[in-house]
Amino acid sequence: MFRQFADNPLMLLRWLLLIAMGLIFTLANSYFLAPGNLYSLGESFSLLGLVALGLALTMLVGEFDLSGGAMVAVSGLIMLKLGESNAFVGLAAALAFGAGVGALNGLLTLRLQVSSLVTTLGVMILLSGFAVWLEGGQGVSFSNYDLTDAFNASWLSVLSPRSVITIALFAAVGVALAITRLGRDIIAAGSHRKAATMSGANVASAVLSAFIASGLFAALAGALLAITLGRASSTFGANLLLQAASAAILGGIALSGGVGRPFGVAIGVLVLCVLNNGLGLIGASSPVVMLLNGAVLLVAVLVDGAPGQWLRRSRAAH
Amino acid sequence: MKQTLRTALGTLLTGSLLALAGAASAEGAQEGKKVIFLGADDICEYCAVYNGQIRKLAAAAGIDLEVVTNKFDAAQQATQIDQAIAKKPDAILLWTIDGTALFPSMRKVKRAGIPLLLTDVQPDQKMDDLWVQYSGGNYEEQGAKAAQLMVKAFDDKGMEKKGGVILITGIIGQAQTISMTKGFTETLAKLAPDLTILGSQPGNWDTGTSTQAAAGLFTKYGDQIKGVYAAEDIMMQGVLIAAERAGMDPTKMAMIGGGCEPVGIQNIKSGKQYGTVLQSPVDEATYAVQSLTDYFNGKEMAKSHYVPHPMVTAANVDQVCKPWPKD
Repeated sequence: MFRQFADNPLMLLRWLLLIAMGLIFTLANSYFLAPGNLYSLGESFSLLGLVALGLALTMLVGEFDLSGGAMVAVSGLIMLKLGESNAFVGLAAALAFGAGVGALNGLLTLRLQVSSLVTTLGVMILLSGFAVWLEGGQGVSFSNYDLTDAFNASWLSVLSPRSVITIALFAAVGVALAITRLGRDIIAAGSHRKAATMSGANVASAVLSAFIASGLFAALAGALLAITLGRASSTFGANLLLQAASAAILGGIALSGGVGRPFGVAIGVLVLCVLNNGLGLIGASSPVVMLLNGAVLLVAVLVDGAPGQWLRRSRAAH
Repeated sequence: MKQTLRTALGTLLTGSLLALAGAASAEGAQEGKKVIFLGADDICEYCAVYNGQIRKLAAAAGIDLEVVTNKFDAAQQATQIDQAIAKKPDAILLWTIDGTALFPSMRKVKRAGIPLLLTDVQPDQKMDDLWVQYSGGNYEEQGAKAAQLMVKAFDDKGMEKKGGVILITGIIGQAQTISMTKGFTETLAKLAPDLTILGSQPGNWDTGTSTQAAAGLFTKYGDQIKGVYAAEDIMMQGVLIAAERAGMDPTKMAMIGGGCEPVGIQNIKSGKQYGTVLQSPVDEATYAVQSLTDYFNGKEMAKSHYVPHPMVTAANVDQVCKPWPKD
């Protein structure tokens, strides 16, 4: 971790921002560090984290997946529609659907040679319509409250099954990017696609894998949300995409591709979750919450801009 | 005559309620109690009035009320409930964003031993062991009264009760949307079996969305449409815009809204909207604080405590619908 800070001083700044916010909210409200509140923070981290992690992978490979939010709604509906009698069937179907739609996004982007913003926009609209159709005007509920309670259980007072799954996935993706051929191809394809192709990287496989992972993670987020709420609706996940993009950018993922790592995305997600959790705890009004979310993102982008370039240049000079 | 009687009853009921609030306040057990209210965001005008009123009324009753709002996001509200449990308040007052999605969170509140009171949205009553009392609108009754008003509009305008009507609903899947639609369709089928519901589109409690939704239905069904039920007056405003754009005269149609909101009052007075069904944020906030004071004073409480929903037309709009407070 320390080497990562030395290599990337901006990551240290993000950590400092996170710690500063934690300190401010602890001083402002004694409940901030209460186990119940940390559990609640973990739940927020889980939902946003999974969508942000998938989106970040597509950004790393130089693309962008707009369909994540809509996938959360559809996969939740599939989970509950097919999982009432057997939750594993519902979960498997939701994940298979997520991976399938991710593959479709990847194939459309590769075959049509158009921006993924266009292809995933079309898929996002399709998914939104599919969600309304699946819902059938009534929403879908889940009566298996034993399973819901099991997924809402608290481990060591602060963790939940959802937050543990999310943390494990962040770690797994971080390791995979660092040590596997596919991981290196994803970064190479995002950094300079032509050069990556010429140097033998399997760019098509990298792009396809990133989209499959994005669909899969969003589907997992939707299925887990549906289980924990005992309910799925076409409106779920509507606000997630923008937050996920903010978290990824805050975490150091460049829109141009090739830059950033899952560890940074986790920090970006935590910054947003701590900010919203802390502001909620002190009773800040929604306009204040929205203004501060926007301000934090802008500050991060500005720091990544001119000062960031200066830091990167001086590091390169040494 | 019936209308006047209902208005008088409504006024009497509200008056007695305020008197009761005063009495409960005098009992004083609620004073200094910490209550967390998890509600909807101020970006909705109805919600903003409700939030302003509940702050005032709770302060007057001596309740230490913390207001936490969210942008109609069930997942966010579930997290807010976890946070509220961590603070161990004396009670939680919940305006549930989704009638069903918060059941697991309500179970957590129950397990934590914190009394839960509900306002504005009534979830499935099969689960009512999770809360002490629901106070607020009776949405099925609202829908039923809208259907009665629709039939009355046909009669008053001398229209034969034959042909089609359309519905502009709230957000699909929400408990209120389902109940209002049920109340309206069932009552209309009983009162005017020859009136057919041609189509229904969600207006999502929003004027712009309702304009587009109604425009589509006007294009599809044209002159077959004799009446429109929009579940909220701000959605009826969108319907009226769409009707005028489509070259239809809303004064010659049976236009029924809901809420008796400022824009609804204006449209009823201008004759573009025939009527509405009252649901006042002031009443709802008053009932919610009444619920809290009753609970802290150990009173016996029914599971449901509904605000009055009188039917409103141009004849009684000034008596029944009061302007919303500005702060």
